[in-house]
Amino acid sequence: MTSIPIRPLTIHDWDACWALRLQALRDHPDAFGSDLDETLAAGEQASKARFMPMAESTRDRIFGAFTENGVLVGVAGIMGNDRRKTRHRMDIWGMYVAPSARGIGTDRRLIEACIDHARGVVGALQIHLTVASHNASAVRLYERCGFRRYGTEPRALILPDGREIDEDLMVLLLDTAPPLPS
Amino acid sequence: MPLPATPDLTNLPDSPSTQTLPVQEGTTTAVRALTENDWTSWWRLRLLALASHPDAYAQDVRDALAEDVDQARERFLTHRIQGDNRIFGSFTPDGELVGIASITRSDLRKLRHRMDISGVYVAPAARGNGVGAQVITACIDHARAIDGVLQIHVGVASHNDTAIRLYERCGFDRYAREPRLLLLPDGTVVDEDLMVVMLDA
Repeated sequence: MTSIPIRPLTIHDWDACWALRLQALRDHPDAFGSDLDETLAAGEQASKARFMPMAESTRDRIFGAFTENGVLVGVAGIMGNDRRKTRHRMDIWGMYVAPSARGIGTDRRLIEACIDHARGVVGALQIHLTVASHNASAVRLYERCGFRRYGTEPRALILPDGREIDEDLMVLLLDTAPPLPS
Repeated sequence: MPLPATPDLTNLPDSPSTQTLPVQEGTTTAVRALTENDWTSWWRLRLLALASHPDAYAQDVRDALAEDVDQARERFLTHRIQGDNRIFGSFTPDGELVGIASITRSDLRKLRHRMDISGVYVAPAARGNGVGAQVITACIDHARAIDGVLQIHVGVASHNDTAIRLYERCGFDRYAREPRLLLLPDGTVVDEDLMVVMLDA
């Protein structure tokens, strides 16, 4: 498998997105504030109700990576907010790449798609994300994309099995960071 | 439900020295959790807080004023003071609300060990009497009594030395400085210190 096409998800991608989301929550409980059982208990419609406005928004995006057969194998979301004093901020969240699509730069291309999109959003000046502090490869990926850590949140998550997860808080300032080398 | 009187936004108190002082130095204020009966007092003080310290709150006072009051009241009743969530208020002997702090708990299973303090404000005329420490301490005591709550977070403008010292005295430590949390309409940039107190430490 070589480089994988990336495009924004639309409302028609919901089924694939939902399936990948559940896989992400199941395989990496340490990487998400949402819990698999809780998400399932809340029901598919609850998640779909959050997905649909993002898929139809011009400001927010969920980018997807697809195989040549059209199978969704990676996602990353970027969203802004409506508050007057924090409209300059966007957040990347829900990043996940299926094992079959790893090691070929899919993760980097998803993050770059989010960054490129944010650069085109009027007034967007910075992008924040959080990442489990022990996930060194993800931290390195974000650093290569221009993010820097501004703090570590102690015990950001406690997993159902009792594991405690610290999270690095990272930011990319769009108005001072140089464009990424292509 | 009558509309609560809103502060006169064209003539806001900007410093304690310009105010008559209804709270005499050394006056003892009493702290308690707010109930539905305190809605109007809380809303009024909240609007004064947003209007007089735009650098301290993410919500803009114009957005708060534009909001449907019944909806705001509904959120107060069904969220801000429901379940484990509380707003603690400090009252003068005359029953005037002069200090407030909210504490909330996430519904998410992986975040149930965490509570967040927000919406802290002390009316100018009541400052210097330990009202801030009183409402923060009430929040901490409340969190300590809840099974499974292990830590409390708070965010504070990095330039607000007085507030930062207050949180430090209450046991909070900074774990991050968030660049440009707020961008005010006049272009002022506000960084924010993120602080936490570990209750099991």
